[in-house]
Amino acid sequence: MSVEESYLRCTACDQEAEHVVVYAGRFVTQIQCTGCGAVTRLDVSEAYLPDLRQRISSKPRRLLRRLRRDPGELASSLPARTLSKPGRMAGEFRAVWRSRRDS
Amino acid sequence: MVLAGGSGTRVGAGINKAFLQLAGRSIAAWGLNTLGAVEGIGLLVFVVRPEDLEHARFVDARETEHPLEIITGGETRQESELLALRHLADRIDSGAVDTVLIHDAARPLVSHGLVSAVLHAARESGGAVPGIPAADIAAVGPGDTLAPGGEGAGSLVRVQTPQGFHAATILDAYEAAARDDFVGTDTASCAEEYTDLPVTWVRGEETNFKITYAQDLLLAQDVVSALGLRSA
Repeated sequence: MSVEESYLRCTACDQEAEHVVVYAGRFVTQIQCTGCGAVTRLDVSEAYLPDLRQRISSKPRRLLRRLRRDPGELASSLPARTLSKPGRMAGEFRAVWRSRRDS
Repeated sequence: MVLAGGSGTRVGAGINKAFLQLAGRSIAAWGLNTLGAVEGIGLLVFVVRPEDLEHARFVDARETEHPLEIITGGETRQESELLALRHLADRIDSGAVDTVLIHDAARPLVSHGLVSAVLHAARESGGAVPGIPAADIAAVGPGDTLAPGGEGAGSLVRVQTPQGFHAATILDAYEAAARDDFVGTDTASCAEEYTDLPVTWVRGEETNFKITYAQDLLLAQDVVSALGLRSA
């Protein structure tokens, strides 16, 4: 799960306001307007697994591309990213489960 | 040229909306990848705010196969366009760049076909923009009433990007606009004011919408899924 914040116009209050965007993997699963509090939730559970399969199958190619473009960056970031992967995946699964439960 | 100058940033806010993730890569990267894959487009200039340089470099390194020339823009869209044109000025003067397409980074789902059509039309006529016929538009009258007669319906288009122009002419137009402190609404308005270029329009696409509302992000995500588009 990852969270990003950005200014967008709110469909509910029609004001430009900071919005909190919650992702499960590559999918937006929740957007909240910090101005009026309006929340939009999306159940991404059905789309998540096929997308996860695609991410796993394309991972070697993506790593190879990074290796070709900047081996130093890959070498320095890979160990920490590998160690944190189980935790990040657990967070993703939790976000998908929440999207199914709350939508 | 892809502009992410002022897209959704405010003091103290989170990231520029052009760098929000959409199906695995940033909103800006979708448009950059599409433009970069179109035959005839030789280089990509990515115009960003100084505070977004790190995000832009990440896009260059990780989210596109096409090398980007990243520059910082100005306070307004028009100033950013002028700076990008000045960045290209030597290559425009030498003839290495004959046409420029100017695209809004917040329109991630522009298609290869539309970019190609605008490029072709701009080379043919000197200027071209994508537009959606606004057949469903109605003029508002006094109070809550509609104006009688439906005047204007069928003769208006909703203009999108990328907008394409003969490079040397639009560079001159922007320099002249800067001298006059003229501020247009978009590239086409500056071209209309300072050039004799006939600006033609090609049919735009409903999916080439601008991410403005929060719900647009969800809609774009649905379009990516429905069209089977994937980030690399």
